[in-house]
Amino acid sequence: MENLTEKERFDRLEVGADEDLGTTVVTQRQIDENRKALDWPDAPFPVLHAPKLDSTKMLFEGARVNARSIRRFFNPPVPGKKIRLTMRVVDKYLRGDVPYVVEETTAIDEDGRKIEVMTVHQLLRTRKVGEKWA
Amino acid sequence: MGVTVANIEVGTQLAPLVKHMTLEKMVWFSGGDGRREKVNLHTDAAAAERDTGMKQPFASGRISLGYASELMSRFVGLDLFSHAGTIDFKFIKPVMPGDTITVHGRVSEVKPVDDGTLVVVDIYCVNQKGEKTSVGSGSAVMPDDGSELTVQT
Repeated sequence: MENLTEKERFDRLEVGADEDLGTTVVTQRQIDENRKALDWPDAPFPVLHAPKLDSTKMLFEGARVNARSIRRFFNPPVPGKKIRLTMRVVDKYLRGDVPYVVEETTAIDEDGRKIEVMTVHQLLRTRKVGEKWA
Repeated sequence: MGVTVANIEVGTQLAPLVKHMTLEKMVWFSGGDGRREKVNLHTDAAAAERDTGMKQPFASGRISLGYASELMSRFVGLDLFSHAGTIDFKFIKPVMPGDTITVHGRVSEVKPVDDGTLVVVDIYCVNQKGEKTSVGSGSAVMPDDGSELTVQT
């Protein structure tokens, strides 16, 4: 990957296949920290963290910046229950020559309850943020 | 009678939310329990400069999405939004520690759907300088059971 240009790595991003990102467990501490972060004592949905790296992270290592998020809520997570995360790259695009990838992650707990579906548009050339705003 | 989907008017403004961003909150959100990389561009100045060129860390856009979620939950009810709600948000300007963010919402659409009534709210966040930091919408499917909406808190 080190010898590939950004455009070559972008071209290698595959759209469509489901990826198993493993299982995570939401802790009460995560819920409490999320509530403190949002200044919202009743906030029910902390951000879920995947234990496995996805395929786009293999091609674009390091940081990415979230340009757009869509969260669809179905059931608040229950602390202690395992949640399986499945991700699919649903799109990729260039704005000018700046690459973005769109990833959709579905979270379902061990009882079959759908927790949420989150779609994220990730800016892959993160230095653009500083170029515009620093 | 209170406000319900039967009488809510498009254009109705929701009571705004005001939030104060701090680095501590950013660390709770982006560097807290369960996060694999606790030192990152949202929690650490060196990481922010290395990865983005920003001189200090900036808040994850999903914090603002959380603000929008609260706005919608106050409007349609927490339980309903937690089971039938959606937020779609674009992050257009970084939110920095010390910023005060005001979240605004305006009802933009009310229409019947298969299992109730879809209520859509245009939402945007502005900082203390009046600059928009994120824009988008929230929506929820309300059952047709006369459930009340909360416009003013």
